[in-house]
Amino acid sequence: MSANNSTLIKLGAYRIHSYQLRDVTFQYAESGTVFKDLTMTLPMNTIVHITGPRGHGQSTLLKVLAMVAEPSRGGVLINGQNASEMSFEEFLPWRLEIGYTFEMGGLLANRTLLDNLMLPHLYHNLSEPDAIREEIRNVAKRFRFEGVLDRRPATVSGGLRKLITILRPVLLRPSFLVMDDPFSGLDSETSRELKKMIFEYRERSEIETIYFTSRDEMWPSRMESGQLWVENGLVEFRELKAVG
Amino acid sequence: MDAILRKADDIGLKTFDFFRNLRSLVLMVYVSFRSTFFGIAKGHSHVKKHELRQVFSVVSSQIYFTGWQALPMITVLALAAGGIAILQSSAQLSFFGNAQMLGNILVVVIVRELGPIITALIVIARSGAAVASEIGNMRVNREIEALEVMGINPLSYIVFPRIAGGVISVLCLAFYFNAISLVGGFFVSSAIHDLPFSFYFESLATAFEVEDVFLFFIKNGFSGLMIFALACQQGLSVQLSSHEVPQATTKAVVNAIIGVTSFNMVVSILFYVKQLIRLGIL
Repeated sequence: MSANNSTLIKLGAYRIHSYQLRDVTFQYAESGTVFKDLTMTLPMNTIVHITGPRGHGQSTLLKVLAMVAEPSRGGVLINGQNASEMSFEEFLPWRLEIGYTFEMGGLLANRTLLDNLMLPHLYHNLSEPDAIREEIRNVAKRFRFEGVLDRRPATVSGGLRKLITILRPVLLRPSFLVMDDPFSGLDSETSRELKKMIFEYRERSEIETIYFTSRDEMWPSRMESGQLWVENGLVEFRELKAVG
Repeated sequence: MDAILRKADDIGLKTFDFFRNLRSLVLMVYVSFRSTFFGIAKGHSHVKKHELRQVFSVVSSQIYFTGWQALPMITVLALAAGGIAILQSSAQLSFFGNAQMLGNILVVVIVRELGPIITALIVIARSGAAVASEIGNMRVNREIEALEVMGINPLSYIVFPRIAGGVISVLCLAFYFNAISLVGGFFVSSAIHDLPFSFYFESLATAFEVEDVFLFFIKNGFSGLMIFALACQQGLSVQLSSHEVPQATTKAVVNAIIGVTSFNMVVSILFYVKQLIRLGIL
């Protein structure tokens, strides 16, 4: 039940090994339809860079995959079960296996950085409080922000806020990690260290599948990712890497 | 004719909007309570007490902010309102030779009417507005979305604690207002007007009825519920622009003032109709 070399206590039965979009239509009230009747099976246990011409729905697709945005029509099948029809509580065990990192925002303003990182662990009793506090302190040392852990988001730099929004889901070690432009706004050293950390988790099979967008064209090759091309409401997988 | 029809359309649409908003408000309150106490994920039953611990830490923060921090303001207003009411009524009643009615007048004026209204108005101004803008800003900063992504139901973690903490605070503040008004107000007025202490308390004690307790809980409990439910509803209605936050805050305050005063008036009317029926006048 517990993940290797981590303090997490999660429900192993809910690790995501298959993910399908079935007849998904997504439309914004203001800008119209982005995807229409999209059906696809996502390759799992791999890293995929979602790309294409700007403004063709890469971030929207990412949000649909992370179940942050609800499709206007159609459903999302996770391990063969229709997640779109589940209540908040029914979906919770799956939710904890899907990590989503915001491009910006998303930190609780009235909580310290430490509280922000600890909240999901304490709320869902995923880790012992002392153990997760210790782990966060070690991660903070690794990224050199241990001195500001007790400060609120508004009092630290934008780069650090971005890093915390990424670390919060990553520390939950979701089997399916969805990242919206994770490396922009981070300095090169932090980006490299973050990539290293994510790859360490992948090696231990704690994080298995990663889908991400990136404005920086260097990162897809650094992440050794395949490509999912999104254009005019159509999606196409290209250059998929071997599993593992 | 067209003008009349347009007016009728307008009234119809506003009525429809009112009931639609009322329905969503009731639904929000119901789902927030339901998900907090009964929303247990499959295989996660062991987690519920940890969730509740986190939720109740937010409830206690809300009580501190809405209840504890409002005490100085409530104290000043309660002393002023109580002092004036006691001074005016005791002077007038003595003049007409009806001094024994003092307790009845004070219970009616302070406990039944002024207490609930003044407490509610202070809470609306201090906390209702603050909660609406806080939640509105949380929407803009994507904090609500972040909670959902972490598997934390915003209705349990944001809405329920504010409503529960708000209702508890309003009840405590109203009790405190009544106590300070009646006791403190006596000492304020005694500096100007000579009123025997034992007479005053005897008059008050005989004036209180069991129904006053029900009235206290109905008026103040419902005011708290309405203030914080409306604040949460308006805060959550903000989409993604910070420009919407002050609009939502204003709407929450205005709706709460209208709702609380209307409700208090209706309850008071029903209460007095019931009293008139009991006395055989109606």
